[in-house]
Amino acid sequence: MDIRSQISMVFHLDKCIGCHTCSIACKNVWTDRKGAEYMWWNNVETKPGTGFPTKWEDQEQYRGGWEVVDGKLRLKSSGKQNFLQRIFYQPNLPTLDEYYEPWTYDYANLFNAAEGDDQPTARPVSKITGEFIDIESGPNWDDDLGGSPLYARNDPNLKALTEEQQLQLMSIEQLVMFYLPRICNHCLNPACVASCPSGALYKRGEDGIVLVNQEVCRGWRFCVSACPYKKVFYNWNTGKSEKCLLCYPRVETGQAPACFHSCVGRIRYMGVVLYDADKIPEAGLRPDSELVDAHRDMVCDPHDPAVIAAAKANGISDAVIKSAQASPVYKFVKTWGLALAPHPEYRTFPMLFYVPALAPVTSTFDGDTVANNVEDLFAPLDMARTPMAYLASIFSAGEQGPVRYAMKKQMAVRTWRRALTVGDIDIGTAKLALAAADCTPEQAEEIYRLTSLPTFEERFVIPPSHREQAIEVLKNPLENKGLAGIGFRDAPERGL
Amino acid sequence: MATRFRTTADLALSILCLAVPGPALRAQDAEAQFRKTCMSCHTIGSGAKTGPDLKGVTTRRTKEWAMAFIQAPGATLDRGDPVALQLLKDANNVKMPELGITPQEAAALIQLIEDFTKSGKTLGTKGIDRPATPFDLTRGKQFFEGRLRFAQGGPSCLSCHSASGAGFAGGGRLGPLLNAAPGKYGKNLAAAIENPAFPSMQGAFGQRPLTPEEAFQVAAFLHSVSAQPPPKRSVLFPVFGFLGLVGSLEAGRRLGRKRFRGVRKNLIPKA
Repeated sequence: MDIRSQISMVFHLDKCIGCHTCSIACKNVWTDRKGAEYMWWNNVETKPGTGFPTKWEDQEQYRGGWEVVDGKLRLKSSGKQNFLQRIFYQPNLPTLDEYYEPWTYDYANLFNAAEGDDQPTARPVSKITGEFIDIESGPNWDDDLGGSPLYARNDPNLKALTEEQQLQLMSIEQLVMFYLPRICNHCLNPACVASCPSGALYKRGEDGIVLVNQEVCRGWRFCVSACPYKKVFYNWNTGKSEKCLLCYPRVETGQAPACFHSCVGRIRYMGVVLYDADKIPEAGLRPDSELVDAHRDMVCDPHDPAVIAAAKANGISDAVIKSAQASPVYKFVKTWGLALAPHPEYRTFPMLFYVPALAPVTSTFDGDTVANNVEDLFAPLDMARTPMAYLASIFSAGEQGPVRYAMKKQMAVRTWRRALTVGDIDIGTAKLALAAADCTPEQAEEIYRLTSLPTFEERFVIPPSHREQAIEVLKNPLENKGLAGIGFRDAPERGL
Repeated sequence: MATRFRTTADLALSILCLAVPGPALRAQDAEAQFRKTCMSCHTIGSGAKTGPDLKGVTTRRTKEWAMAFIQAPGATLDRGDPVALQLLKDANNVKMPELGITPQEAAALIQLIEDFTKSGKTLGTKGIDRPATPFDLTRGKQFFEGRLRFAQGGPSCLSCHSASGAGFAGGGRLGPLLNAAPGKYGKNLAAAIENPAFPSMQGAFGQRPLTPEEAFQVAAFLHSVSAQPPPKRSVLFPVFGFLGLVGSLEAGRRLGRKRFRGVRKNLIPKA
């Protein structure tokens, strides 16, 4: 057992209102720089939709993630054979057209335009070339199903549905959408780290945050190709790649990352989980249908004495173990089985989990009439407007079991709460529903509390980073004890 | 305009800078021009080739006559000018081509010839004058067919020309059949190859001319085949060229058929 700690995340999609506040918070803090204008370390996508960059889930095109070849895990984007061939030319990089050409507006014209017959306008100006452009796409171009016939229709996950189901999904009466906020998943088996020829990408030992060392990066862009979530970006100004750093300066001081902190719908949870790194190689080789279980199996019970002992042997501090025991992520992922990782079939083992969104049936289209059935709010799953096969394609590599389990349990909890608070559902029926969803009334109450009424401290259980201990590795903190505290950390470059 | 120069001194300096290098450059230009357009048939002080040695030409003819002849040799001949007719006879009835020389260029060329005559310098070589050996013939043929590369990297003759006994499927059809070339240029053929006055050959060989040795060997080969009947021109040569082009384009397309061609723009239906 090789127990390591990982700062992990849950996004509760049922609560996401798609307001993009997270994206703006991130942009203002991190990517409002020359060369980074087009980057959205955090972005919010509408599903069904093609997302950002366009159709990032289509690995036939982008060749991201891992694949199993001859019983071994292999990067799809490059290998030992074609490594040299690709070092100066990455054939599957998204182009600026797949991201979008960042722009601003010529606002000055509104004030400075010469007097004329027409109102002055602020024309869009490219932030890259500085020339006037016609905007053709943006990072959330398909927001709220905008351009559905083009963008939503081309969602790679729709391949999981039959042609008929697809048509149904796109008909006005059946139209359904939910939001998918995305940041770097800080994977357990990161393809970006594995692909880097310079060794610039690394996964921090203490909390598993994946970072790009800007001093080592040579801009080969293997990571951009390799990341199946397309969350490493190339800065055309500095010539280096950069990515979401999970606001580690904030995390190290006990604050939630900017996107978590600013979330309006309070959909984001953060906490430490302990995982067994020894299981990664074997789990990566499991067939698609077993990946969700294999992934969950890696996450260890922080109350188990054996796990605690192994964690301590690996130098994980008591504070981190204690924090892992209170982790909301552990509850959502392991205890309740509600949260699922995006696209486990890429085999990077993302440590950002999603609670799939419920889309209760409020009306059904029956031949030529639309029937409102408010009575039966919690209809069987197969009547849900979002087809289970579609959700399974995103969250469980096509295997519907885990998605159905999570959806059923969420519905059971709602039924239970409705029976308690509204009373139009019989308590007995609600209890039956809970039992059918592998849930007890106590667990239902816990899920309800952490979903609807969590405090700030319950949502973000961030362990102390013990930077004061970490610095002892590099420097003796008692070096200056007894001195006046006046002097230089580095000697001034003059004299002598 | 004047406002851009802050002082009169600046303006004067600028004009001076523009004016000074003028004449020096023109002398260089004239020599380059001579090498390009004249040297295949003429020398200065190295003896007659296809055309006469131009050393001291200004003492033999008037400047006006020379100016007119350089710019339009055909017109001078058509006028029945006795000097020009005599020259044509001396040159084995090879007419001087119309080279499209402007009056300024003609004046610079005459100036150049005068300068070289005065200083006793020579320009151009008479070419190699020795009997061709079988070795020369073999080398010449190999150069012609492109089996040997020219030292400066010029293209092989066969790409555009044909000659009896050389190459495959009759050879290139872009340029003329060269069996008749020795008859036209005689022993000056090598010089014509070395410093071609033909615009299309200047394009191909201007930056990478043949060495005198190479030119002599190619010419020797052409002399050896001049008596033979012209080769049968086959349609295969251009056909093979075309098939090769199409084939390599197709191979490139197939090798790259899985390449990334963009995603978003392909979603959008073409208008």
